[in-house]
Amino acid sequence: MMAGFEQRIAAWLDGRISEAESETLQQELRDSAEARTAFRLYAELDAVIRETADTQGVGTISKAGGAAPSSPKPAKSPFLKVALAIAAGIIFALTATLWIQQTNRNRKIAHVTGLNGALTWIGDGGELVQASGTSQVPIAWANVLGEDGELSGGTIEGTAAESWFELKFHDRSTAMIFGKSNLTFSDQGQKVLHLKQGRFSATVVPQPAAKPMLIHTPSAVLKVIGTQFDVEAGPESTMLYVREGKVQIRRVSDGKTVDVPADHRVVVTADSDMLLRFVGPDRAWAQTPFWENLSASGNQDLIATQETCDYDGTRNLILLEEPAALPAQDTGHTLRSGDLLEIRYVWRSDKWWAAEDQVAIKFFTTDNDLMSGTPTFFATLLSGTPTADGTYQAGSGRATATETESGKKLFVAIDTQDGGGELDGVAHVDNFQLQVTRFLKPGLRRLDDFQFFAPFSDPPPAPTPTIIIGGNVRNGDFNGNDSD
Amino acid sequence: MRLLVEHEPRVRSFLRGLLPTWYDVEEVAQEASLIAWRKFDSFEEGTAFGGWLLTIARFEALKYRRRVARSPLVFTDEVWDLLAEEASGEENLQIRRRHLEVCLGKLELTKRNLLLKVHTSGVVIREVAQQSGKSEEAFYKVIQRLRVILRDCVLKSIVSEKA
Repeated sequence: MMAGFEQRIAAWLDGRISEAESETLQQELRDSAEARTAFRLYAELDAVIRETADTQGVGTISKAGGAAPSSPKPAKSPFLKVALAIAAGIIFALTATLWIQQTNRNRKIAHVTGLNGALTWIGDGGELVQASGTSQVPIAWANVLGEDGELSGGTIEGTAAESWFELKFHDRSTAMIFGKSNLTFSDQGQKVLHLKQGRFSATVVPQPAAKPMLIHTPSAVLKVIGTQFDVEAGPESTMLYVREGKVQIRRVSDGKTVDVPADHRVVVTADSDMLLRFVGPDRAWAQTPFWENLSASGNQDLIATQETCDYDGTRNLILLEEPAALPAQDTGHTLRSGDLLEIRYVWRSDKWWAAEDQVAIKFFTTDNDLMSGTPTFFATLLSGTPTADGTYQAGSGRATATETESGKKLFVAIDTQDGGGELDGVAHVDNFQLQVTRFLKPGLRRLDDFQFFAPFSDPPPAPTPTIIIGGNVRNGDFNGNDSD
Repeated sequence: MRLLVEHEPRVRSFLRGLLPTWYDVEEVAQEASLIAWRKFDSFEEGTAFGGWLLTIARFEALKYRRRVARSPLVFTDEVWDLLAEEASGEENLQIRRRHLEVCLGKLELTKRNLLLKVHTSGVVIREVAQQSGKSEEAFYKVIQRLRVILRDCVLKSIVSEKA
């Protein structure tokens, strides 16, 4: 009975207790003060072991405390010897820690390679600097940065949707946060990061096997040896996407651990199954049916769609502010005056997307009814500004064709409208839908109307909208693949 | 600051009996220290700083607990209150902790190293078990035996000291 009780305590401390065992343990703790005392003793024991392990490390312990207790000849006062050895160890560790802290206080572990937007940096020494900057390191930060924008450990907090911050560690590993994020970082021989919330992306060069990079989020712990990956952390969930290499992720609540290989992702919440999901490779414009890159570069080998940052578990369109890419398509629809054009889509902001930047859906015709012709834009429908937390939101709008466009082919482009002053933002668009409703002017029947309706019967039926792009119709969901 | 540093181990021990993981303990201990630092003006001189800090830690742990309440590792309100109440009033915590540290130092070197290794942040016990050539279950039993040795050592030391 007692052994079972102790095993349950051990399972609880190790984070591997089952629901049934947990209920039994709680019943025992509820019923017996003695059981609670025993439980507290084990909990204290666990705390002491973990503190010792974390602060001194196994190697140090073996040198500092090994001789006295394992001495083959019993000493006259073994307790005194052990106590002295531990005291000496503690004094040594304290002195060493103080010396290391003193030395490390000003030790720079990484340098800033770029930043933008409103940010707050709190250094190890408690110094706090708030600044808003552009892509260059602003003067306001000069007092906390060493040569080449170097930083000691601390906490960096992005306080606006367009904030981002990139740092490079001395081993050339890089890390970035985007939007409203909070990251604490340190490197005392092992890189330890705490991502309380927000989006985080990193490229980590191979780390010592015994000292992997550790990233703590509220719901998971990630162990990284060397790889490229993205993390998105909220108060109750963590999404990890591994581009290269392998990352181990452990759920904090129950200790469940999963190895996430390249091109896979996993979502960790309290009740998720932590199943790995394969993430297909990015696809270029040349592989994306119906849509093409209408930018001046016309480069059809640039990335057009991807499966990460998804809305519904499928592929989405990558929208860039920079002029290298402009998604557009020939809708195949010939306009008539009065045609009502309605669009719907979902979108979200990503890296470097400013709070004022917007998605701009543009309708246009060309002088020769070919996509390559000279365009005339007749309507631009803006999305509005992004959500603060970078989640997907709906975009919609409508426009009406006039006599000017009548008889011409309709083209549509998914463009951006800059509001932040820099053309470097990235966003994602999915499930684009365009429907056309054709209204006939009263009394003005056309020849084709008479072909379908008896000339002297009831008036034509009420107009119904026709989806000309949407779902798998003309690749509105961006999942189509020309290389299939 | 000195008071905070002095009482931090006690806070961690206290929290370990209430929160499911060491990560949770560190998060709440840090939050409690920050709050104590900010609210130091409201601490009444002459009263026990440790008790005041534990009250803050208990409250912060309660808040934190709501976030992870769905896990089977989180105790029900009744059990949680019992444990928190008794741990807050614990008088011998410092003494027991001292004995724990001594007993840990007494443990055979290889066993101590093993115990420390599996309790180091970021170490995955399953991997250590694989490296040692043992099944995960057998490995957990080894760790549990070491814990029992330490517990017995502590209880014996306390009794000897009192005698």
